[in-house]
Amino acid sequence: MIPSIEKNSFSKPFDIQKVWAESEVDETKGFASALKNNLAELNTMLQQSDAAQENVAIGKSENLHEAMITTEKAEVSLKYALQIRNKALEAYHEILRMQF
Amino acid sequence: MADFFDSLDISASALSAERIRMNTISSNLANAQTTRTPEGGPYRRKDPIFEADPVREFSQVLQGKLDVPMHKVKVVDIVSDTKAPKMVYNPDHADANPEGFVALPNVNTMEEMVNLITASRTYEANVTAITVSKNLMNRALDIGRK
Repeated sequence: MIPSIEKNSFSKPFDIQKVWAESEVDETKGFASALKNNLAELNTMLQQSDAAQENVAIGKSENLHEAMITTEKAEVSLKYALQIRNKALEAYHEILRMQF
Repeated sequence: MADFFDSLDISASALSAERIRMNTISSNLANAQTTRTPEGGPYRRKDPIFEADPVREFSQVLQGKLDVPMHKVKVVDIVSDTKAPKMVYNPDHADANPEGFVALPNVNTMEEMVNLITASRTYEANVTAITVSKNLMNRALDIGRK
């Protein structure tokens, strides 16, 4: 939570570091950790896809479609992560373009 | 994401099951004239038995009350057909009985071909189901695209 700005505080120098230090950031919640979790999930999926392709290549896997489906899942997850990244960057740029 | 991928997993299980069915049909066709087997006697026609396999445990279904209990398919057993072998008179055959009859497998090639077509069509149907859910997922991702 960002502490409320006191009256007339605009005349005083605004110490952003202090505000950051005082604001409580719950590391287990929030966008950043959700993003991290999703990325970790995506990474496992990509690794599974790699492993499935390897298994088909060396003849260890008996099912071709399993490999294809695992790859497909990884692809969809990757596309999803890309979309999320695009959206986050878009929002960031929007804030950068803000005029006061 | 798990929910999105359920349909893919279900179709994948069907593909595996149909592949096993096609393998048994291949085995039946390949052994349509086989008179010797490890168990003795002629080859007996094989048939896979399919069973519905719940995607989630029942308790999980209860927790998410709106969840439709969905089922994958799995092959639980491959059974031998108990139909009597075909008796063909051929006294010159090495496996002919004293009366001159040879016991040939109870495999009807035409029946197997029909089963093969069914299996391959079912496989195709499930591949189509996978393609459709994949396309829909991509379509959903397009919502975010500019």
